[in-house]
Amino acid sequence: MLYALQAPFRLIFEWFERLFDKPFGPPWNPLRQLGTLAFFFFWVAAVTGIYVFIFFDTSLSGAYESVEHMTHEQWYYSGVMRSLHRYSSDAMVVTMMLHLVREFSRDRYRGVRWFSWFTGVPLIWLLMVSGISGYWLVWDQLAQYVAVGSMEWLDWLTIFGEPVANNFLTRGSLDDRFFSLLVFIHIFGPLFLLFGMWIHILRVNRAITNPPKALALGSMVVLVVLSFLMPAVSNPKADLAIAPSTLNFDWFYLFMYPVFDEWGGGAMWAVSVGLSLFVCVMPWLPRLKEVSAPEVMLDKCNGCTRCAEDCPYGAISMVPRTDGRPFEQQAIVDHDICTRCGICVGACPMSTPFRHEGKVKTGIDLPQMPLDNVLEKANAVMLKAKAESTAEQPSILLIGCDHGGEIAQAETSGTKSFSLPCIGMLPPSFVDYALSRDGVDGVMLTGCGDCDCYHRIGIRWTSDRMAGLRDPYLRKRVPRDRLHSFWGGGGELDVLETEIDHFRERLSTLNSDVEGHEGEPS
Amino acid sequence: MKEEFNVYLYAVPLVVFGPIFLYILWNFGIRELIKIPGEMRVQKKVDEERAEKFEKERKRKRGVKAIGVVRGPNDSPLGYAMQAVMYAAFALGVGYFAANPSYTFIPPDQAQIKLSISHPGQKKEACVKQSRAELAKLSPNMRTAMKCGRERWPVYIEMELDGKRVFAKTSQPKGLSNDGPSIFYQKFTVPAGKHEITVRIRDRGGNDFNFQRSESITLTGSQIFVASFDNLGHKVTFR
Repeated sequence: MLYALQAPFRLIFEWFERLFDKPFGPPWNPLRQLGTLAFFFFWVAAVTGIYVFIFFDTSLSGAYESVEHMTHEQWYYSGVMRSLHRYSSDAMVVTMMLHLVREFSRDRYRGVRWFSWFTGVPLIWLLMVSGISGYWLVWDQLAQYVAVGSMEWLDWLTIFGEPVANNFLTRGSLDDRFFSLLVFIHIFGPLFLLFGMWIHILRVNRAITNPPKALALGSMVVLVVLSFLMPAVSNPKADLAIAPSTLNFDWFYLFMYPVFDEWGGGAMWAVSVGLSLFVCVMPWLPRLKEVSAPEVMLDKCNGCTRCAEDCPYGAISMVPRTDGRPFEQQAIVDHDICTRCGICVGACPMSTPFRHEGKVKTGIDLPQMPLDNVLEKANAVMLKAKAESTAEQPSILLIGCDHGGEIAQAETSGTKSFSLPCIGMLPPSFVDYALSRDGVDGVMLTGCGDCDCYHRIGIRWTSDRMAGLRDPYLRKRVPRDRLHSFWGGGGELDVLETEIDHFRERLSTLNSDVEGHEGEPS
Repeated sequence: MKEEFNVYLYAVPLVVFGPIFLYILWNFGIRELIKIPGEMRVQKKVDEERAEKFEKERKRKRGVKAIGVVRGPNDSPLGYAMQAVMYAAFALGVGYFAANPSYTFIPPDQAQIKLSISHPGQKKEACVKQSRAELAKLSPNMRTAMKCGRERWPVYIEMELDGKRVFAKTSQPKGLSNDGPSIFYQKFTVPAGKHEITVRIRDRGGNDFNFQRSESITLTGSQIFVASFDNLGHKVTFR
């Protein structure tokens, strides 16, 4: 059932990503930066919250007036800070929830990724507690409604000796001490949230928590403009003898309260806890059928550390040598955090199709797709491509990844494809091999979308390796004009086909040039 | 009489359960948690070294051409203009739903009656004076002159509004020994205006109510009216 849900969400996201790619470009596309944006909005809310807290009167009698003073007397500064505090918190809810759905749609929540998914669920609760407790502090009618509703919700559990809602029963029921407790909840909620966010990314190597500067700046500017144009204002002051009537409502945080009014505490606890538990166990519904983790071949590993440096999850570490060979270190793989992407195979300098006797052997290899099989596959595909190629249809080896689009659909006469678990698994020497004497006319690399690699940095490492920026490099002798790449993911298969057409034309011209030169008298 | 401090009462559970508790905590995170700062320091150093090495390489090979289609950020004037439109759409969405549409909790022509009572029922057993012989059999910390049962009666409350019974519930005493108060909390939304309200309480078993109060009240729109119980004055209160 979850699979059936993934596909439509994925299509929707791909459509919007493409729409946003046009004005922003992939690196600045906010849909590709949802996690970092959530972090950014957290920091904006934290800084503005600290500022607002300085001028906030934490007493029951003074809270509302102090907020009103900030909003109306100092509207140009404290008022803007209050609005920024509210809007950044709201924006955090939006980006966090979109981030959750997007990761689900991309199937990036199962297998060893369960940890980030699982630890993300309490973050939703902590964010809600942080935001809702903030609404209490204004002590307007909305605060009264939310505070009473929250306490009644808690009281349904009957874990307290006396109903907590009795603290809000009549005028005089609520004292400064209890109000201070609410203030503390609003301070400690975000602190725990930050701690949870740190745990959330603990297993991610090179975790990026800041959006690109331009995106951060744009988001900040738009929030400031919004704060000036639509400043956050309070509802009338709370009065425990008067029931709140019509309220200006923050639906990002408070959407559950009208449902609570309708359904009551039991149903709401069942829905919220049940849904959270369901989301928690989603990585095992069903469990990702994980293949074996990469194996280190000590007879080929010289402890060069490249695989450890390139691993997106820090699953490879270097330890002292155990086999007595004259090298300091050897690589070991932590199976619990390895995603089986094969980027380490692409990073290993021993992963070359050129120097091998019999089978291709490398320092680290994927048991389910050994490099030798990759070579066999590449040879078979190249043979097919060459057999169908003509002067107008030069032979192209199209190499993609299992998480991009269905690249087989882009195959034409002379253009044949195969895919790898991640494009980062491709050693640059394989491109060299494919374009060497008996190889194809061109090699085209593709995979996930720009800035959206399923294995996080497979595209980045591949691009850098091919450009000669990252070890292992593509050798200088490889004709760069016979190598092309396009990172469009599943949503841009049509653009991929266009790119292949352009590449084919380029190769035809190159081939005719070569034939022309060969025909000239020496 | 000064009671003796029985050290075993505290030491035995601590010795038995303490290590088990610590063992569980140790295996459920503390062991990993205390490693984190050290690991982070090492990781940071390694990352910095790698980044430095990579940047050196990048600088050394400046001018190297990227392969294939590279789609960078759109920093053209038209791009910025379109971005502004999309930012504005996002801001409008956030700004609107941060305060709209408004929600009506209780219509202005309605009032709210809250029945909130926390009242301990009477004790099921009367206290009995203990003889010297009975006291001698007890451990020192248990020797009290009166032996009192802890269990209380459940409390039954019903409320009538304009002659119609709108609430009737028996609530068990809280606490493991059923010795705490019985709790009632219920809200009613009623039209503003005149109402007849009656609250009856039974806290000692049987069929008779031992507390009752009826009153004619006039509620204004949005008013909150609270029916409660004064445990010191032993009476139903209306506020």
